[in-house]
Amino acid sequence: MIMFGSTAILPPRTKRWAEAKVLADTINVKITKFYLYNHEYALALSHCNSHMRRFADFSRGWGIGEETFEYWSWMARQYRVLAELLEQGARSTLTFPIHIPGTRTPGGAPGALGPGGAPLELDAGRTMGLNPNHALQHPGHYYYMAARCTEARRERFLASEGLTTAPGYANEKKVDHLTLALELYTKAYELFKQHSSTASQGRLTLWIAYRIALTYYESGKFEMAVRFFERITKTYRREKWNTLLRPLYTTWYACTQKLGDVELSVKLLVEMIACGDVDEPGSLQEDLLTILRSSVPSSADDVLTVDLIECEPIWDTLLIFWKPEACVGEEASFQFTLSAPANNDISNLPVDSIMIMFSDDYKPITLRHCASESSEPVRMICVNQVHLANADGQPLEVAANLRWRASDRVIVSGTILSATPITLSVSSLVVTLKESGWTIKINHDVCTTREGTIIPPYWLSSLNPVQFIPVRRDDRSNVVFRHRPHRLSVSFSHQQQALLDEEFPITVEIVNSDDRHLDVVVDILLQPAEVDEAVQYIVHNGQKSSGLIKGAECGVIAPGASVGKTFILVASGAAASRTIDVSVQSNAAGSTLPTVHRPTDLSVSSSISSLSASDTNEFLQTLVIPATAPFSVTHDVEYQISLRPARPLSELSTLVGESWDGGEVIIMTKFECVAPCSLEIEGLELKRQESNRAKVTQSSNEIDGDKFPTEYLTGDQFCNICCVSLASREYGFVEGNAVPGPGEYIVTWRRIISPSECGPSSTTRLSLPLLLPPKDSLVGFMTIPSTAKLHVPIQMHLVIRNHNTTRSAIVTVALDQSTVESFVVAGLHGGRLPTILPGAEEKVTWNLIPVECGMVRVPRVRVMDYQTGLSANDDGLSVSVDEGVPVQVIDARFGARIGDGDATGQMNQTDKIFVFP
Amino acid sequence: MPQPPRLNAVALISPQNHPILIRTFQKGDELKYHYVAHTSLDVIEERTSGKTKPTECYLGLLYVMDDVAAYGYITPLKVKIVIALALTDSVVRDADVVMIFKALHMAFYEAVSNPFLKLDGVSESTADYSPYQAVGSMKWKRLRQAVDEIHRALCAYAP
Repeated sequence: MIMFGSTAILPPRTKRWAEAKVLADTINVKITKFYLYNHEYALALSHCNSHMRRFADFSRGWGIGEETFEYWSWMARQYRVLAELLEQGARSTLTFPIHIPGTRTPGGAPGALGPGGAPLELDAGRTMGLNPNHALQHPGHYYYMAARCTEARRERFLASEGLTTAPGYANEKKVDHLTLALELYTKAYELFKQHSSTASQGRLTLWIAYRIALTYYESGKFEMAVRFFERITKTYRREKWNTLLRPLYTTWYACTQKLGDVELSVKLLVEMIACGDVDEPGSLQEDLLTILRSSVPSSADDVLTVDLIECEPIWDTLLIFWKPEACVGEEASFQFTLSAPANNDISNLPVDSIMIMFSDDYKPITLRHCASESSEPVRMICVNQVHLANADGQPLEVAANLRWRASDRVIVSGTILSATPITLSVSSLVVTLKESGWTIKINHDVCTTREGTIIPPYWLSSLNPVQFIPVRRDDRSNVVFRHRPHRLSVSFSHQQQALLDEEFPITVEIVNSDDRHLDVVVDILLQPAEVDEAVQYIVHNGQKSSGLIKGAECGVIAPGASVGKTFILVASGAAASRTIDVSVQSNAAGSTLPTVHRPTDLSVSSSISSLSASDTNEFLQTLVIPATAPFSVTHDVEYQISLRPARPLSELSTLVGESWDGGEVIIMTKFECVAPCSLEIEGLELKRQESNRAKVTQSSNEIDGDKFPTEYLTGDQFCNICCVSLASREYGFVEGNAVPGPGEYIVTWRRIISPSECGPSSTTRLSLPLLLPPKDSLVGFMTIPSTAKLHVPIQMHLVIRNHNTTRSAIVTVALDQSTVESFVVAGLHGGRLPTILPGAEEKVTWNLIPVECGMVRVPRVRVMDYQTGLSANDDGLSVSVDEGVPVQVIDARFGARIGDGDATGQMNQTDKIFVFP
Repeated sequence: MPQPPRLNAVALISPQNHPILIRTFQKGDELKYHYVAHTSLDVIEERTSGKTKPTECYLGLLYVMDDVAAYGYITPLKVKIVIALALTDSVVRDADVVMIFKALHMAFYEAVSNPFLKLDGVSESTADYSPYQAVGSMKWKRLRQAVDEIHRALCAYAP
């Protein structure tokens, strides 16, 4: 360091000095390389930078400071060496860190610095930052730096060109700086391309490309430069960065001038005019005019086309339709504004004509320049209706002053009409410039504005004074043509509530209040019911469907006529609301044409009729119809046990035939009319259903005869009683199983709509309830005469029958001593009966002599079943024997048990007999 | 103690990648900073569209080019802010940069909240970005002044 610092020890520009310098550079590279091996990127760069800085300081001392090309040549070499080193490294294991702040959070590994960068790591931890100088980037950046340094070197060299005395000048003269710079840039370009991710749009590479193009330009390779410019401008144009485009265009234009390509120059000038010239507005159009006047096109009829699509527009354009929608055959008015920019001068642009093209097959509007027309700041040009291309008549052409001062506006106002449903807008704009033999056609974008300008969407409402109305719809720049909506009035008539099982008529009344003939079709969709067990369907013209009835034709309805359509809803099962979607589609088939016609449109009429199939309107309505049950039904069920003794097994009928001695059930059914309207009940029938387990023996309605038809109001009730015989227990019974009701009531009824009018006859089926006969294994029957004479003996029998099919019963009988005072009792007072086998019975008889007169209570007999207790309680035998289960004793004179026969069966023997004196 | 960073240029870029405002504090070098802003978009897009989306607005150092270091920031509504700091051989603290970005973000936010920007609005819908364009135009000075104020504050803070 001291050696380099002192010119005395090491005089500059000696052989030794040069050697030492190269040596120092080489060592620097080595050190950097070692740091990189160690992943200490920041240290590597820091070392490299400090080396360059130190030697930059020395260079000043040696007389080769920043103002000399030698210094920059050396700098460029340093960067290039670094870049090459990194490039080599990248081929093996070197990776480049990404400087995302998240990776440098405390706690996380400081990825930007590498695991070994201890001093800087500490530094980073303390300050949470990064020296941008020490942030390692991919070698493209360093190649770029080298190229920049080479450019600086060339600059210095050119500056010192006169001073031939400068040392090293002779050598430097031989160097082709631009080729060198180009090589470095190209390298950088490739590396940038390589390192750019797929997500990015290559803006960095484009920048390098721009530098390359500039270098080509500098080195006089204009064609190459032009090729680069063409490619670069595409992206910049798309992204609308005009500040970047302007200098680019200037250089490009200079290139074309050098190349002498007049057409390209003209094209470029047009684009440059569009782009705007901030410094000297108007100079570009002067340039353009000069070129146009001073040269002739390659062939006289040639039209030069300039595409300004996706570029900055010359004019801000705005299209407003007054209404977002219009009916077919109705005129939609529009205003198309061409507004000159405020900061650009295009007053001398030789605009000959402007053609406005519509999106569909319409004749374009042509504005032709006429200097004598109004030149107010706001010019209104009225065109009448815009016609279809195949219509007769002249193309629309109007004269207008097409010279713009800054902020001038030309507003084209007109109407457009469509005979078919369509979305219309202005599709393109072609501006023609004409000057001394040149014809330039500019394809211009529509509805675009220049960068940074906003033209408020205003509708010109008056010219004198100029007044605008803001139109702020988002869809203002197009209009949608639709068919005129059909004026159909659809009404529904039906009763308020539907009753289950009823044929419920719903009438759709369609009135055509339009002036066209309309073909109407009705679709009816019955939505699935939301409750279980709901059954529903709709009937129309004998067609029955549980879902959709499609295409119920109503035919063509003439204007003013009406059509009624009735369909029938039948809901049964569960009471719930039924939802019906009705869609009435009208179609102007074979319609008369819309009334707003011009004779010119006659040629179009054929296409209208072919398209009229799509002129369809749909009217949708959802009906929610509550359906309620007409009756509410309650059943009272009484079970009676058969008094007949079990048939002996030996009897043949026990095995083959049906035996109906399983007891009897009396079902009392109560119907209550719950419909919101009166009902006429026409008949009630009990329909028997074949079953081997139960059968209906008699029914009160069959005995009573005709009570019907009768009118029932809401809340009225009527009753019906029927008897059901059950099959004997042995057959078909599974323990605890319910017996389905062996029949159903069929009620036929009508709704009374008005005193004179009844609805259609409906039938409601109400099945008998499930029968749950009591399960009793042991039952006792007490038989005693109802009357007795004082002191005359009577007999009291108790039959204990074991209905159990598998188990024998151990039964004890005890006479309650406290209840025997009215009688002298002879017989068993208490004791065990012989074991009763399954299906067998045991009879106990007492002789009683009444000793009191009047209503006398019969002695109470307590019957206990011990066997049941045993089985119920397997391990506690003694307890069961003690307790036993009381057996139900039934007075055979009444022989009934009420309800579902709960098996608690305490002897409800409140029975008394009458003793005569 | 590292020196506060020296601000060379500020660029605000709309979600559609159109420049809203590019303010340079070095005379005669405007084009360079336009390029810096434009090329920064590449790196910003790369960082925001990667597999690991950044949770913070601050995107850190984008790249170093010539004598400037570009730092990026993206607001929740995708307005990108790029600042170009002069390259000095000292550590730039993230906290300082974030502070500058936050100040710029606030300045933009306040400027764009101006209801009068919508006076000439193109449409009534909320997805209208025309205020973004308008706020950077010459007509409205507030954002420009606020950015200049931030630059001045930074210069005053520097020794």
